[in-house]
Amino acid sequence: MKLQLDQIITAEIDKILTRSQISTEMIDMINSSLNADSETGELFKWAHLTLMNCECVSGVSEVALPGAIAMELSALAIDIFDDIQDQDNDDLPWRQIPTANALNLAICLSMLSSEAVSTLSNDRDGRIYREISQILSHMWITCSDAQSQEALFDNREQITLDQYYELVKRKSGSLTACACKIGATLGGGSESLVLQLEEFGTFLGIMSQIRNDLNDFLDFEKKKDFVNNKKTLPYVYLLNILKGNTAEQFKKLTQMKGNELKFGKEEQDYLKKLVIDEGVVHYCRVMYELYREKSMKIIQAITVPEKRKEKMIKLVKENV
Amino acid sequence: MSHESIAKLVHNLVKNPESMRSREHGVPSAGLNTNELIIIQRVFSECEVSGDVMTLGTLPLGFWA
Repeated sequence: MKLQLDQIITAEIDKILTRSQISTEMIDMINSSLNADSETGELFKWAHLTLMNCECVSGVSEVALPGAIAMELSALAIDIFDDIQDQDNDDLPWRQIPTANALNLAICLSMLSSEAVSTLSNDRDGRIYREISQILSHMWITCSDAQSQEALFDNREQITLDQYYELVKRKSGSLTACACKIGATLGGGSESLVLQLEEFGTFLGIMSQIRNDLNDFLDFEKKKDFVNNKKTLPYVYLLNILKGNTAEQFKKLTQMKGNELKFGKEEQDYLKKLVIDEGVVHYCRVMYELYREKSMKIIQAITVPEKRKEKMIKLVKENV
Repeated sequence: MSHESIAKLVHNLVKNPESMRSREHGVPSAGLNTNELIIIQRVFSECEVSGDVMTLGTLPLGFWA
């Protein structure tokens, strides 16, 4: 079933690319970028999240296809902007082309996302088209504002945990919330059901960010989070919890921004020691579990047939 | 949910594992509800069973890789 859906999504994206009359070079860049960051081999994860929410609400998923494709294209565009901002993930296709090309690729993808939504304009009174367009543009506004805020945070010495979670809610949570909201809306869900699934999406996005922050924190080769003073959860936790001499030592490490040579093996080992001794792993796992439980509670509470909740429950459970 | 209270409690428990025992006997924690305490205790038990914090330092990729 998933394979069949993947083929349908691929065919629909091809149609949009053909209809848009863009160059073969741009089409090649788009095709090599789609799914390039999938570490599990799963294809079109954003489209599937959208379709899954639609199926949960209505029992069918195909009706959400234009919204699912719009979500996939928008999420890819945002990923590209994010990697350009962070200057990391150097192995991904959009980081191996000149930045100007990568920027144009991201802009093109964001407009193709709108093109995908425009196929909904044939609905009876255009209400659904307007709603989906608004959900998508709201996500773009929230997400880009949060991206900008994140860059400002990088230059600040002190960030509270509350500020971190608020930023993550707007940056990562808004994307997953958007996918869930589009799916639920296209599935014809009631206003309250749409809001519940939107909140579910927000929690899913926060979980995803906590996991990425923890997994990437000590990956000094691929990621430059720490040396760039990126306010990830392990960083913000240590910033707020350490006292005395350990806090001073940590502060010294954080002041090596832009100077990777100074941040050598000795410093990396000290940071690893802090991660273990000061409870970074415990804290990130606790917060991940708390948000996982919040997500699960929403799915258990929504008023749809139990059978239709199964995929959503599996989605939350498989992250155990 | 008080992010700060949870962080403080987790840090305190990592530094003083013995204090988990008193919490298991129902000593309340400021700013935290019972459910949050149960999850904290569960995570600490998993870390103890594993015996290697770093193996738990990588969260599963799942669908959202």
